[in-house]
Amino acid sequence: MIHLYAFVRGLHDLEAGLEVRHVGNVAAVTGTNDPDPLQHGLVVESLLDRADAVLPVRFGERFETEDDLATAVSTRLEALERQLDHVAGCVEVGVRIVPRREPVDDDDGAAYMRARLIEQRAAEEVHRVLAAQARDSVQTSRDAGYLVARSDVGAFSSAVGRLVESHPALDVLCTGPWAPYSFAGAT
Amino acid sequence: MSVAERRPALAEQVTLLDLVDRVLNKGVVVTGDITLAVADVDLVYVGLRLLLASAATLEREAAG
Repeated sequence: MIHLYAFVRGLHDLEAGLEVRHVGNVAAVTGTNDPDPLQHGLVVESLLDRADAVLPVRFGERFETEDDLATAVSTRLEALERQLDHVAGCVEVGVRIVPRREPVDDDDGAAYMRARLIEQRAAEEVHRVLAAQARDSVQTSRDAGYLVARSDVGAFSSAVGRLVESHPALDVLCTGPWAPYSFAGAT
Repeated sequence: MSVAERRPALAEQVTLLDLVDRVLNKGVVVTGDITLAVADVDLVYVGLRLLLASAATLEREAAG
């Protein structure tokens, strides 16, 4: 079986046990081992230091033969190349916003709603400021992922630090840099 | 100061959970239909147990 880890561009080194298979202009990092999700994730993260662009593949993509892999990938070459262009030179920084809940009188519905509104506005402002410094961003309710050029990660995390200082009502948890999973959508 | 800076052990746990969350829920899908049955459900289960064991270890180390 062939396990698919990621698509890459500008790969200059590969750890033992992995193989690169080319389909059209796209390079796929594969292995014939049988990793668990944690191992899969660690391999993908290790590629960040070894390639210019890393497009992570979701865990569970396994193929019987090299032909099966080529058939599945060949129908998506255009989208994969576009996504590799998009994430080239970038990593993902995750930001999770956790409101520091002040106690609110349970019986006072209006006070509760006001508190939620203040949190929501603060979170939106944090996202707006950070999104302006990133190449791309995705946001769910409390989590956001930012696509940041490697050379800008320092400046980006300083910006997160300043936002933490100016928003005492929020706890901001910053994770990464990660392989850009949030920017490797289904093709 | 962020949660991460105040509690390094918590941050490591969160990061480990984030990693597995990403691996299982995000990323390119080329087959269009990921069947974990192909990869064997037991495999995922073992992987998650490993993850929980690691997080528990971190917690013990933080307390110790």
